[in-house]
Amino acid sequence: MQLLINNTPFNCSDPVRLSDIPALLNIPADALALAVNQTIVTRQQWPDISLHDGDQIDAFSLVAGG
Amino acid sequence: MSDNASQQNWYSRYSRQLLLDNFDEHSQQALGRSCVAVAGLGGLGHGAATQLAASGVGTLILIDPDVVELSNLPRQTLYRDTDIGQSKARVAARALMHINPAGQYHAQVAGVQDASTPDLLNADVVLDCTDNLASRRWLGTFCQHHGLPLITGAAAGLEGLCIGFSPAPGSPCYGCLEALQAFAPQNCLTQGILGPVVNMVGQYQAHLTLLALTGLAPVPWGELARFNGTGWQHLQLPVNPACTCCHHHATAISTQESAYAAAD
Repeated sequence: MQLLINNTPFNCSDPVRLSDIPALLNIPADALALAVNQTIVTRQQWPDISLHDGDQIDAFSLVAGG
Repeated sequence: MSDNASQQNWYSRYSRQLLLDNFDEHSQQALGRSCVAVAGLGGLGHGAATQLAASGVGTLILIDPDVVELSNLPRQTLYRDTDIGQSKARVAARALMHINPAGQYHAQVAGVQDASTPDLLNADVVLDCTDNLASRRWLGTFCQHHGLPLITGAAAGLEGLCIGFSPAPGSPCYGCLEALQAFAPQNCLTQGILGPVVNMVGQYQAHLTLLALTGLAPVPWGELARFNGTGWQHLQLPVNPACTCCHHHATAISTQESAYAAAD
């Protein structure tokens, strides 16, 4: 299965849930937002979302300056 | 100036906007009757306010407690070297009068929490151009509870974001964004900021505001436009079950409805 995470192809052999993404990227889950196919997923729903071949994942933090 | 000359001047000033599809004299007149509150007149707000005034928005409420500082000048181009030490709200009001004398520009030297509530309630659209989460949270809650459209912008480092929150029932609010628990701990003071990044976001806030005020095109309410340093992404924000602002709003409406039901 291939995911596109922040526009970079990422090959996975095992089934992946959205909650696995921070560990896959080796980044902390704190201060992180995740979107699947251009829709943001709330943190509470991360464990419920199974990812599929070709899914586009965006992982990012929000800024608050002005 | 005679009425005829004044009218010609009006058409001449706004002629390029009047050429747009879905935009006519009535749209321009609607802008002239509109009131927009701009909370924060730094990197985001100075540019948004300038564009809205130049476009013909009739009344701007300009809210900021701070003074112009030397370190503002590389990106806050409404201000001049000679303005250093003066209130941003007052300097902006004066400068905008030179850009478009037809508008009314009300300066409020205050943080959003201390701004005039009647003035905020009079706004057709509120722009969150503040630089801290406490002000953003207060403004988000205020707009949610009073049914005001809110267009939030933010920037730090090379990144920026902009999202419009509709008061329509069932729409996400600012609290839904905050409840993602995804805010980076850094801000402009620690991370720095580049002028074009923060100005692009401020201009996009102004753009969404003009769409909302004129109906020129649909406003992408609830869509997070995110600049990642090299390009833009557009992501849909859902209503967040962890949002306490929506929860309180739903509770308030529910209580009100119960009261009406009891009265019946």
